[in-house]
Amino acid sequence: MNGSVRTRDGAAGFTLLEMILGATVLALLAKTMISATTSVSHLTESGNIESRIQRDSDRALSQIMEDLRMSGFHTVNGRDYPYVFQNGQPDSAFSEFEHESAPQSARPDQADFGDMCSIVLCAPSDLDGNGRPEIDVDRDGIPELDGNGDGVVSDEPADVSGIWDEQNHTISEQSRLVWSHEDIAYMVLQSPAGENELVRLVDNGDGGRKVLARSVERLTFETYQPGAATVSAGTVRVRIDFRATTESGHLFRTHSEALVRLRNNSG
Amino acid sequence: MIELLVAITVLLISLAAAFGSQVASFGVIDSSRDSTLAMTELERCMEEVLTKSSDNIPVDYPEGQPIPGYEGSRLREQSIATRFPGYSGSGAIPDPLEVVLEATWLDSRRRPQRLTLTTQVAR
Repeated sequence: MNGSVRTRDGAAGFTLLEMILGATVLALLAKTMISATTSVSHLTESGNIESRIQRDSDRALSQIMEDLRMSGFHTVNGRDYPYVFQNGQPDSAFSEFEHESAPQSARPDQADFGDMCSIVLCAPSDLDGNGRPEIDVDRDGIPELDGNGDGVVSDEPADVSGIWDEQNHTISEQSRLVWSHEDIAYMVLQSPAGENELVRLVDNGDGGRKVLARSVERLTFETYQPGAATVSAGTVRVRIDFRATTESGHLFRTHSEALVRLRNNSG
Repeated sequence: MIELLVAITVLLISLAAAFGSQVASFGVIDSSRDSTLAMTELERCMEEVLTKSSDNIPVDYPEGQPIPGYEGSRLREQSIATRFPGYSGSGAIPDPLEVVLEATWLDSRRRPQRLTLTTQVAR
């Protein structure tokens, strides 16, 4: 007797006990597998959201920091930069940036609750596309450019004609740095799909519009305020709060923050 | 009965191996993500430290003290502190000043991890 049944024609079979035991073990294994697969699936979903937000966060903050570093506290074309406004309501000088503020779901007792900020920055020009801002070194009102791409900058017609446009640029009195009138704005807008998107607008969208991040709950910019305990002069603190819910209902929240010194502040 | 028990044992061993490798891969992914996050945090922190002049950095960010705003913000028990090799904390501040930022945190198994970022600041 070895636990299996020998039938009349000599073929081996299973006893009822073996069948029940085998079925029970398989059922337990199947239950464990389903439960483990469900957990892994939830884990993967939240991991994917976390990774996506992390990627968005790094890309957005890197881009904002790069623009802030190149910018400065200046008056260009009669407007004072950088200009920060709340809830999509700028003052009259920047009225073209008015927009409907993206919806927020944070409660008053949560860290990501508060006004939604937008910022408008002035940017140095790069008319010849060589990756370097233009400077009017000889102070004759025409910056030295490399329009013909020969690697040598000058204000000769071969280098400047067709690309230098004094109507749309301001040359700084002190540093002679050339500032473009195409300003750069960061704001959070609601997409047609109902998601909050952090967008970068060049010339209020006419010069380009790029979505940097999704699931943005709040965007804040803090600039130096005399007499208040804020950031030091010449710097801007930026903070992006993210909030996303997985299909299984798990709420994921995180934030990124950086303090940046604006490098081109000297006139 | 023996055949059944052997089959179940083999099945369990193979399942345990499969799950084990999955858990190990999650660990590797976690560790890689933590290192990337830590480097991002170090870069942001360095950007903030460099908003000060080299004379003020050791005063505003004392050696060994966790820098406010970077404690536990993105990693488990995360902390970022400064070190200034070549500067004892008293006397003249060297020019250039070497600034080391050291991030410490705990990984998913609560093992301590660290990563450093170094730069030099001229007066």
